Amino acid sequence: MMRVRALAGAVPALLLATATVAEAPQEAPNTCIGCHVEEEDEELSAPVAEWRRSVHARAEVTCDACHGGDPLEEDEELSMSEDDAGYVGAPSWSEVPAFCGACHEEILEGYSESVMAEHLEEGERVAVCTTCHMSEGHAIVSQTPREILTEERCGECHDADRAIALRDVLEKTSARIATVDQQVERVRGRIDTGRLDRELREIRKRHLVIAHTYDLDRISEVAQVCDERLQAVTSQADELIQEVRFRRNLGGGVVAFFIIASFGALRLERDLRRRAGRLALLFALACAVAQSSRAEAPVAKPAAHPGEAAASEAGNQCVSCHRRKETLRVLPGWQRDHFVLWSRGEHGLADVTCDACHGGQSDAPEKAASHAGIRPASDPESPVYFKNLPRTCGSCHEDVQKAFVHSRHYKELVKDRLAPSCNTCHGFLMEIARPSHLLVDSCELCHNREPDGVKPEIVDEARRALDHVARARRSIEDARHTVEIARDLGLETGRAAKRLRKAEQLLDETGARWHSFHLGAFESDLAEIQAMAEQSKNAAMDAILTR
Amino acid sequence: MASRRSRALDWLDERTGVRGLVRKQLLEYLIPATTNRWYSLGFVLLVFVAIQLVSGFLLLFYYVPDASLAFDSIERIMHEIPYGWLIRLIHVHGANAMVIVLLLHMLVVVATNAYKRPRELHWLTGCLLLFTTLGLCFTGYLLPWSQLSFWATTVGMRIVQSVPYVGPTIMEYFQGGTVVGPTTLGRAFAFHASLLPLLLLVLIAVHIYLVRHTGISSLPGASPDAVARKRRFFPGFLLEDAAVALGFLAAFSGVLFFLPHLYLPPEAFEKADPFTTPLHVKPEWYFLAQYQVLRLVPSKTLGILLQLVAFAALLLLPFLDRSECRDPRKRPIFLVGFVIVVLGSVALTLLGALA
Amino acid sequence: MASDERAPGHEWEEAQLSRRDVIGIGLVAGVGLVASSLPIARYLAPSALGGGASDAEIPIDRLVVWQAERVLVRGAPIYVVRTPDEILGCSAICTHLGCITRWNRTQRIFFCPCHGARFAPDGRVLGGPAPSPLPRYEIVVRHGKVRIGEPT
Repeated sequence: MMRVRALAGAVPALLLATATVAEAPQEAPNTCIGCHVEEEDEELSAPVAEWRRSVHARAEVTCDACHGGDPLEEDEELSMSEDDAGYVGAPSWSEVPAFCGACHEEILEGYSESVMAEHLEEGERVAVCTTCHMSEGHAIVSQTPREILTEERCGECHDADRAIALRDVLEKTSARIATVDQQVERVRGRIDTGRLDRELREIRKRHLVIAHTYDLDRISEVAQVCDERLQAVTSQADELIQEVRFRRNLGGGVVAFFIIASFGALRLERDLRRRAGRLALLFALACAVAQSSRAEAPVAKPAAHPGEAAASEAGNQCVSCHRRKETLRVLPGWQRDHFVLWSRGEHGLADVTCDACHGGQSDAPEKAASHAGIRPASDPESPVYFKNLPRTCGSCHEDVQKAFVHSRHYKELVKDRLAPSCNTCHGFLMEIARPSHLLVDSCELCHNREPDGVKPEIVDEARRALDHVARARRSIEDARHTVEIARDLGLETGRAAKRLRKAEQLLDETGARWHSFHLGAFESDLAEIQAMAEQSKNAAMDAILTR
Repeated sequence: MASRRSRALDWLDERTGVRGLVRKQLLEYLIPATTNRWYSLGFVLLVFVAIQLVSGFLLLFYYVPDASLAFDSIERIMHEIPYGWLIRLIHVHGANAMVIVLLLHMLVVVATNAYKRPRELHWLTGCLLLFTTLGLCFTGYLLPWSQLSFWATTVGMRIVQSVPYVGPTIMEYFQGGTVVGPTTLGRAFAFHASLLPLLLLVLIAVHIYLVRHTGISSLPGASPDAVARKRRFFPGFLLEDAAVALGFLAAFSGVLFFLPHLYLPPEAFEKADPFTTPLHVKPEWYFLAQYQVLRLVPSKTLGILLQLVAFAALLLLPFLDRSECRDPRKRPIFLVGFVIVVLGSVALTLLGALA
Repeated sequence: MASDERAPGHEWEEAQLSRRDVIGIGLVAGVGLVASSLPIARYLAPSALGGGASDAEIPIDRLVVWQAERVLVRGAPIYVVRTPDEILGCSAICTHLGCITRWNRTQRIFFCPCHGARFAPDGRVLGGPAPSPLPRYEIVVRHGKVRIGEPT
């Protein structure tokens, strides 16, 4: 296990290592940058740092894309050769628009329709791309119209008013585009905004192109069209935002459903195991060999066996087959134990044979015929299915069943909840009819301090109640003894004897009454019996003493 | 009780023997009691296969496998068809989820040495299932005909081309030409919608039959008593399977609804343009490890050969590792090798993603 | 758990699913199935978008007086006829047995070549075996464009 732990520690280490090795993507090797960065002359080295801050750097548009040259050639002359490497160098003032327009074609189109382009052709020194966009050298960044069309810059050649008018119109549209873009940004990545993005790109392009014509009338016209289109984009973006909200809610519902269903399945499985566990306990108890000290617990005497077959062991085919050595050898172990426990237990000694509870034909010698109609105890239709036991056992032990159906245990049993049936306490073959300590042990199966245990205090109360039964029995013994002595002395014992008989009768009934599991009522019954026994004894004692 | 239900069942049973079948194969099917939650991954995979089959079938209603119409048909599905976005996203996310669960399943099998005798054929069919699944992913990737599809497939095909001797021929046969084009789409669609799903189902059937025949493996290191003990598959373990599957479905839904574009970068929403290569094109994450190996190894042929050796080693694992002992805690060499391979693959994938 | 401590051979005693369990599982599965079938049903439903091409807007210049222009609207064939007073749109499918009608420029009627049914430009039955008039479509003219709308 230590090795596993050590290896587990290696995991984060390795992950860290890979993370540091694979850093952010490096710049591709570029000799232009490599050389110019080391130049002492500021004019030659500054552009590199400036360029690195620009949008061109982010778009990976390197020096050679505009200036030509070979970015992989180490030799300076070859790298900046016009013939071999297409090196163009820095353009002259009038060449600037064409230079930038090599990539920014549409902007160039817009610019060439402007008055400035006309003047440029005539050789005048007017504003070109670099005038507005290269105020910080190669650090070309995205700017708003407000930042570009400043009074200082335009005021060099024009009156400020014109610049301001242009700037205001352009700024309005620019700002609107930015706002709508932010609105779409809310759902980018959560839904396909491709159409809207394309439309926004189109609008922005039109806006930029027309801006470079510097024609206020045309710009105003286009601004209106852009506005309308932006309006459409906004409403579509709103729809998308609604749709995203709907999808998230739907998603929440679906995830919740799956989580609940998953836990439900787990609970059901645990429930099944617990029910199986209960059945297992029956076996566990059945395998506990019964002790037969009889004096301690109240006996629930059954009514006369209805339809008692009076078949001796020789006549009853179930018994005669199952007791044979050959049969016992091929039966699974627990069925062997079954038979042995039965024959040594109460039912066996009372000649209550297999068919009385399990059914089947006890007079058929062949296996198939004799087992006809017998169902395993796991079958809900079987008379020995744990929920059917009260009825089956009650067909002989009527009083017990009558009391049991009033009990909380029975109510829980029929509701499929954790509850005992007859065999839970009396063992699978009723061999634990007597000894109270084993009986009360079975209380602890449910009445315990475990997480799903109930009312753990019941166990002590039950033990006390059974102790009181024993005490009542002893009192009755005492009373009987005393009454016998009185009778032998020829004294009048009528009342005492009557009382004694009543007490004995009640004691007999406690066996059945116990099964309503109302400890309070049970204790008060016992108190009554106790009192009666004592009264009987006292009466007899009085008679003896006042002889 | 001769209820109507039991009479109907009798009718059916007489003609099909369904009662006996259900009893033997389902109700009385016992599995070792040492099975735990990790054993449910096979069932989870079945669930995801079903999801893919259903969502794929539904997509077929509106998808058009023609290069000029494919992208637009997908756009229609995403924007106009009611809940089309959901079906498509289920299919995309489901494919990735299936690969993840499949890799987890293989990881558990290797970790518990469950490929050993008598389960070598399980492993072989399982590896074939892995290759089929990856084939489905690769062919399916091309179908939307987006920039992502087109270029990832081109890059992938270039790898195939590097295989010595047979590479270029295979590549041209698959592409239907020297470059990826409309013919490729037709071929990819044929594989993806017909041959590969059938192959998948056949392999799954064989795999499950083999598993039932040999029985599910028990956990290594369990005591013989624990191994001998059995539990019912139905309903107990099936409920556990269902719970695990539902848990995975919860995670899957979470990713689908709250990170919908996890597997769909912006290039996936642009129509394929053979003239414009997007900036950082690379294959999907499950191929990144191999891609990275090819980039790191200087010679392309050597790289390909390494890959082939790795595949062969994977396939023949049960024949290379023949020791009887199945408990990885008692096999330090195996454990070290296992951890190295897993961590190495993860590291290579991460490297490929960040580069 | 106690169930694990049983001696081997007692498997058959493991608890069965009670009726309540089956109902519970059925309910959850049912909810899941129904919930997932709703979007699928809408996905598959023959849509209002129709199976076919849509040409629901044509420039008014295309329409010559007393000529019928054939147009496909959401896959359905429609005739758009321009009279001196108005523009009419009606279905091209004969109400008798479904053949496509033809426009007769001279008589200025629709007639069906299959069994000779005749219809006025606004769809009324003029003769022949047709049981009911041709369904008419809403026509809206805006900005020089004729828009064919829903059937009336």
